[in-house]
Amino acid sequence: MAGKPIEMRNKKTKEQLENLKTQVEETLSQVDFVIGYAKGYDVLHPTPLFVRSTKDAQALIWDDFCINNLATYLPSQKRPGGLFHPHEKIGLVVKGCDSRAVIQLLQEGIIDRENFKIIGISCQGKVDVKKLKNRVPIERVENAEIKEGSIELTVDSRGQKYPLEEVLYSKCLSCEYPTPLIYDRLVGGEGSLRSKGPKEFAQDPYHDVEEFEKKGVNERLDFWEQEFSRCLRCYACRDICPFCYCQFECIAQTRIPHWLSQKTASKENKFFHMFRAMHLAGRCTECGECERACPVDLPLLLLHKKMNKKVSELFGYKSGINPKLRPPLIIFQPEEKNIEEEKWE
Amino acid sequence: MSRGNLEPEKEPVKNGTPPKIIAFLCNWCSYVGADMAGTTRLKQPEGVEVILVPCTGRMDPLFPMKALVEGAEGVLVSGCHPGECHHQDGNLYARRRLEVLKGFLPFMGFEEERFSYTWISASEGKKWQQVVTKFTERIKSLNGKKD
Amino acid sequence: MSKVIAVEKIDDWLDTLNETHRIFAPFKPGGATRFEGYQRGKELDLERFAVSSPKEAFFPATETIFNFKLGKENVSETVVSLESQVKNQNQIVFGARCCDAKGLATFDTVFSGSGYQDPYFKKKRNTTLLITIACHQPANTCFCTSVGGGPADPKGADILLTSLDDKYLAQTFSTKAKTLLAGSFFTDATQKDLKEAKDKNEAARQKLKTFSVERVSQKLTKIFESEYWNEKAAKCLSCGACTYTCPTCYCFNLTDEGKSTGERVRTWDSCMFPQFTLEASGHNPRPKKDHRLRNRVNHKFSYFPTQHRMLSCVGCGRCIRHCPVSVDIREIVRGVQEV
Repeated sequence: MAGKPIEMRNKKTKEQLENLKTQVEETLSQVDFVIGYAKGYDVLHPTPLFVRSTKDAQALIWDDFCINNLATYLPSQKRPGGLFHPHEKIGLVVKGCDSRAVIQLLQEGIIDRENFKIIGISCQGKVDVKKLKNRVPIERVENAEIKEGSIELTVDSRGQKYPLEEVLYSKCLSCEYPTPLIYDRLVGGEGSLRSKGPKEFAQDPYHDVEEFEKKGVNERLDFWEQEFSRCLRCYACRDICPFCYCQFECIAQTRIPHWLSQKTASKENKFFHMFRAMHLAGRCTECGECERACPVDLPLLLLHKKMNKKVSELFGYKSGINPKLRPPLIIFQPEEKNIEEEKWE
Repeated sequence: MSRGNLEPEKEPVKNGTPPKIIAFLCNWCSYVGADMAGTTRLKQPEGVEVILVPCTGRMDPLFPMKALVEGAEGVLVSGCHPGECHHQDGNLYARRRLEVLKGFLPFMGFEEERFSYTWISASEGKKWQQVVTKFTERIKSLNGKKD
Repeated sequence: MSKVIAVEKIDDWLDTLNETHRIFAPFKPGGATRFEGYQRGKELDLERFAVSSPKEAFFPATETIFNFKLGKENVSETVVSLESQVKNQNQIVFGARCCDAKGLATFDTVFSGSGYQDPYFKKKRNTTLLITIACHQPANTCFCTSVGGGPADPKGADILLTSLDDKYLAQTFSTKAKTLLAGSFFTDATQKDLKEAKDKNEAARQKLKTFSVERVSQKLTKIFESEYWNEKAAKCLSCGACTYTCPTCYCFNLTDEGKSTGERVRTWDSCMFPQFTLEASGHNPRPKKDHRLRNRVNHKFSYFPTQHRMLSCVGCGRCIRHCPVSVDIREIVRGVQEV
């Protein structure tokens, strides 16, 4: 699959869109609405679209910027104040990484399989707008197109070109599931990756975690203090996460129990992110939406990947793959082969 | 608006002040074991504050995390030996959760010596003395390195 | 008064000002550009739009209102200390945009208008000078001209800087700011400078697409119960990114923290959070996203203008840019007029 020319892949994306519209329209007969992607305020920012009719479906798009993990809307069904009524049936367009979130939610019992239909769509990687932000003033991008292994942008009426490897999401460069793991209908057949990217990521999705761990402990401490001094505590990271569905009970905002000060200083912000990571241990499916949603560019995915790496090393468990598995932190083994008791001599 | 500095300056630790260590001990085994160490007059370091929990299964991984974030210099957790939990399997859940926490803390800049968990039965007063002495020494040498 | 300063002298000028004032300017420490305390050597970023607005200089994300120490024997012995909280310090906010400056008018109305006077806000406001920079390259999310503003609107600024390639034109709009332009960094502006600035500012204005919001306030009242809000709020996540980065949003929480000694802290709150209107009884008047989005839009384009005769939106577009699902208030407001 890696040898396919880019031209064919672009054609594939366009063909996928036509097929997607058909699948969505057919699904409408089984559900109350389908959530997909539509054009946003500019070419770099597609926005979720709630399709209730064939007419709505014409506004669907599918391109290299459709990054939102739409599985985040699923828990709303069962939560108080959710927009959807419990009896409403939902259709959802999911990529491979998104499908892991769906499976994990099924595992946790927060959604019922008969209440939603999945339209899986195979993906070739998405462009990270934050990586573009470091290269061009994205607020004035007029056009963006993928051509021959590069992205070509028009900014302030001038052209700029970058190799795809530089601008795809890091998670895409090490993607293991380009085809969704769960679906009722599949668009685009088996997925293939447009680019495997730098060797380090292709071979090891936790490459960035390992690089970070090479730093000394004081360097790490300083790094996090610096980063978390920017946090606004807007909770965009929490609210976009499919697994942060505690709503009124989230300890970040409760007064009883009062876990977290409302002050927004580095120490408090760090504690928030640490306990969020702990609550997501073994559940996070590394979709990276938290990092994307953050208005001040905190490196949140690094934190959650570290947690998952630890859980994987200890229990051989990966979230969002098998809906019949039980989450590792609510079960135990009488003998834990990867946990050594500490010696005190 | 330089954001990191909303806290008052910490008072410099005087030499000889015992490090602040919090120990979570389970009611049925470890607390009794630690108590036994006291009644049999085994020498123990100062500075350890004990918090009683009914079982290590009660240990929310956030307890040691919050203690460290708020300035505790070390956190210990101890419970019944796996397989001998007074509440059957509380410590078996705890083992998983605390091991995950242990692996995560250094990533955030807390030295790995600052958090440990162990299993001490009601008759193991000597082990308690060993653990708490060793742990306190580790913390002291960490603080020494910082200067 | 109009003067000019060479671009390479800006850092020196700020250094001098730093001796007598605390300066907040847009910096890019390692990622997003935010307003932070000035330090020579820190990467000043006057090109990109700062993520947050400079409202933080007057209305910080965290502020201690008072400290308290409960009386040991008797509650009447409780000591509350207030004075130390309101510090006396001259401030300068440098490098804000015209929309940010205009946003302060909302704060002035709320915190030091005809009603209760907030001493914490007032003290900072009275001791702060605002130096804004005119926009020559509006973002595709900007809509200041649609809400009564403009890329070079001097309203709210003490000094307005306009870029003329290798120099800035500096125009004062307040007497206290005149002293800042007195130094040797500045020379008098020529007629040519003034004309060049005017042309550039006009060119910037032309880049913006303006839409009307004339009928919005009335229409909003009419469509209060409409399904329109359901559609528009469907994708909202109920986070606080829009409100926290907004230059006119001013809602806050008060929390007492600590047990026998502690403090009362004021922190930002967001009307988009589900628990914003949650009452002690458990009842919540705005339990759903559509209620909350409807409230936010109504507040900015109907309730506030009706009470105070000014819109509470300055068209900076941060809410659009920072919304993780790209909720676009322009689209909502234009759509309101067509329902």
